[in-house]
Amino acid sequence: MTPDEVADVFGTMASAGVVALVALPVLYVVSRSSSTALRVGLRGSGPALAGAIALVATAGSLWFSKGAHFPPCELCWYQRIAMYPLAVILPIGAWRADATVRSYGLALAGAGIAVSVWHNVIETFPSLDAGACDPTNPCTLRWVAGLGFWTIPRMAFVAFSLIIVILVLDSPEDSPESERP
Amino acid sequence: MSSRTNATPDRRRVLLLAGVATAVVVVTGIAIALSGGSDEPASDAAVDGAYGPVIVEGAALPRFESTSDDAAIGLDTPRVEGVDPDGNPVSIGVGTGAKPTMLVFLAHWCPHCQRELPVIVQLITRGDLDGIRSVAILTGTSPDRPNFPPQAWLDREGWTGEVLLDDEVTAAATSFGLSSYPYLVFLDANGSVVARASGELPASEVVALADLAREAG
Repeated sequence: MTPDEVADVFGTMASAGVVALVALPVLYVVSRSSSTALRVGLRGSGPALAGAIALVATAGSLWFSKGAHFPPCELCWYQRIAMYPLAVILPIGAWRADATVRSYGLALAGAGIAVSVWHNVIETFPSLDAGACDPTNPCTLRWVAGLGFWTIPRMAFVAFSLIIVILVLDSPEDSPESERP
Repeated sequence: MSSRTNATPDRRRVLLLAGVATAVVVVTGIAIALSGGSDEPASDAAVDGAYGPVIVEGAALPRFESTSDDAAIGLDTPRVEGVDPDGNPVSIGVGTGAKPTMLVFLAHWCPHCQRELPVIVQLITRGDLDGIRSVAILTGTSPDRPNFPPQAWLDREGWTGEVLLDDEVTAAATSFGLSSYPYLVFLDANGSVVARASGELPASEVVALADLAREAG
């Protein structure tokens, strides 16, 4: 598979992620009024779901750098610092049914999405950056565009967004049975 | 304070989800691993044709920092001899031209270069750079990066000036003090630096710098 084909695969996942980003809050509100479905269904599963997303994002990130040999730019590195630990702490938190992992997850994902927003802005509008390319590895460079749209920063943004939405919707305070002691 | 819970009914669901997630990751990993991670390489001919042999004579210009207070203004440039994509000899720098010159250093993958090139092409087409020798130096070339090969990009954009292929270690660009792309160097007819600039420049600024070079003669 070429990097473009792999980008199409991850771009398809990102497209599904966008659907989930829209559907999850809607379903949550609907289920909240009827006290059924998603609200109950998500309870306790958030860290596992978010961890799965972080694992896929981490796998994609590593493949693009080690498989396709795309060197990560500076902003990519900052987002890696946020995403990679999520792939470890969220599954462990899910395994241990540790409600506090949501706080750590939200803090890391929040930092990651802040960087991701700026990365997407300068990738879309390069003139907002320095106005010139670093000869080595500018953050405005578009390595791939899966399905003609999904650049690496855009896919990262969807991953961070999904993780945040899932962890917020799975808030223990909001559960029918509080997990707090 | 412990937040460890005994959410036993949910534990099975968590484990199930974790199992599904693990399976997804494993399947994805296997699929990617089986893919070999290899890109469709650019053809050898395309790669070979994207670089030129470059010979640099003379002292390099200082690294470009800013257009104002540029220490390179008035300095003689090095003389660089190379080839265009067709293999024809092209020389830039001191002692290589009989008229003012605009050197445009471009990297095919750089989005700022991709936006600046049409601006310059339009200026040339409109005649705003008449009397100026225009040379595009294709540098920072990498077959692994988007918009390769660079000469095809120049053709698509309608570049009508001369072209010089930099080598794999960007010897030409380095000798002219490049610090970022795109990078423009304006020379007088003797090959001395009149002005240098980098980044996306508006058409009016390119014309203003070209006027300086014309005035310097």
